[in-house]
Amino acid sequence: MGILRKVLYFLLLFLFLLFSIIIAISAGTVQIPFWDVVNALFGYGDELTRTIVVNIRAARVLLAIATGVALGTSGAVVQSIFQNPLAEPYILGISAGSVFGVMLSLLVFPEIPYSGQAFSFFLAMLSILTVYRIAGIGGSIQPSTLILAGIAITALFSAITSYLIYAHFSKNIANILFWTMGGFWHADLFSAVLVLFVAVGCSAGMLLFWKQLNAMALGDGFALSVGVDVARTRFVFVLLVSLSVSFAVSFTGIIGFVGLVVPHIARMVGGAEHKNLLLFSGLIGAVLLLWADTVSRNIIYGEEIPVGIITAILGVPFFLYLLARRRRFC
Amino acid sequence: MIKNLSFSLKPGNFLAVIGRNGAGKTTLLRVLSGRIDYAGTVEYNGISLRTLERLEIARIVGVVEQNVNLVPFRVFDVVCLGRLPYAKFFSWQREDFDTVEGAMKKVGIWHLRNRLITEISAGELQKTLIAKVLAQDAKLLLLDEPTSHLDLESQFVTMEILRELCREERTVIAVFHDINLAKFATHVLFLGEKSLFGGAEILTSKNVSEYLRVGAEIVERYFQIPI
Repeated sequence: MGILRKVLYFLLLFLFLLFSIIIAISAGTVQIPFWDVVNALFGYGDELTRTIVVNIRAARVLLAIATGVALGTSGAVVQSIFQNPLAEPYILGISAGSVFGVMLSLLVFPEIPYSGQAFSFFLAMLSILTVYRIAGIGGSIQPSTLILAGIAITALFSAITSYLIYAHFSKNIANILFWTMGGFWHADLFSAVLVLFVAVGCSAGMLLFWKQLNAMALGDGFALSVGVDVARTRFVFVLLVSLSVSFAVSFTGIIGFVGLVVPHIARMVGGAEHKNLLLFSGLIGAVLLLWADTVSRNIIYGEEIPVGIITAILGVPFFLYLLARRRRFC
Repeated sequence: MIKNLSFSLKPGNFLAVIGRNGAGKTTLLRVLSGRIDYAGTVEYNGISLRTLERLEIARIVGVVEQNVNLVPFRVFDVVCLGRLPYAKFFSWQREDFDTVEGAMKKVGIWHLRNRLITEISAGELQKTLIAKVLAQDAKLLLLDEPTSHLDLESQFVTMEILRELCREERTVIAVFHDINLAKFATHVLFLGEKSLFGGAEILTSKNVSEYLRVGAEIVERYFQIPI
């Protein structure tokens, strides 16, 4: 039973990702033939094609991949450290915090470049730390308390956000709605590389503690019995998850269901053991989000629908399937 | 709340902890594994538990958890986690694998190594968790009702494994509800408002009815066990 088979799956998936990248770049309002894309990526071909390929489409593809990596690995980690197969990275209030942050920046500093991203990132981090602080009141932090605190903070931020939409943004509501469903439409090469860097960095950090993750997935008691400082380790993981997801989300908006579904697919392909699970989750997340984005900007000619809609349409049936067989954590 | 309790054990001793619900049996195990705060002292070979880091405790004390989440890990991968207190590198090393193999063979689950823990029986899972503690090379084993979900055969197998571990100079402390199984132990601790510690000989009808508040008669040989 095999390591070889897993390595093979991984390589095949990786090749498929490379292939998908070229397909994703070639598809769009302007169709670019497959080999022209390859040429342009290596610096050949005419100026216009190169600009479209590298500056517009490649940036977008890279951002989709980076976000997929961030959501995939974070989802796997969150499900293990909270010992809940239905958990996802937004559970700690990242989504609500980041939407609120974007609103705030639109209200206060609408002109400053990247202020939306900055506000989104800091408010997402702030809401996680608040959730963590609240869950820690009166003793040790239990996963269930943490999840409940996350729900509470999410509800609070959502209420404020709804008020802001009602009071200030009723005219360009479509814009904001688009943002709450996520998309890669304002990707640029710089931000894409930055997000990729953070996502891969944080995922590598998580991978470093794969043994602790294995132990924690089996339960707090088990982890303690093999010397894992559960409270501290959980906090480190929450920080890594928040950092990578908040950062990605601040550029892409809230893309749902990826962080929930991807780890489960990864478990089916590569097993539950975290050294493999994290690698597969990152890779599958990247492939999935790349295709979701390609579909979202090609399904209606000349228009783009939020990628979150595509992931939800794919994700919800899968989520229900998981619920139906939830007792098996798989 | 446990008060006025003091006892010491040597390598090779097997202590059965007996008491009513709420007497503090689980609490005692938590104190011994350094999971909760306590007033008083716990020492291993003269070293106070308080001065030890979590990882250092894990190299001495092995807890056989009764409740683990059934995540579809391979049996082998679960036992490998017993090496976590010694892990210095990203991957497990050759010697880790050797120790794990030895531990699994000793408990008799080597043939299950590639099975998932979601697919094996409760008795086999119990053995997996005991093998993990052996891979941990723990000198003191703590078990909270180790036989509670097991059928009769698995109960005896578990007890036999525990006795075997005592023979190789490890110390076992186990909580039992079934006083029949307490007869396997070398020492007995009745936990209550006033606790009583002593050799296996204190497992008498009088003590049982006093500490468990049931009228019980200790029969010389309850089971005829082929060992």
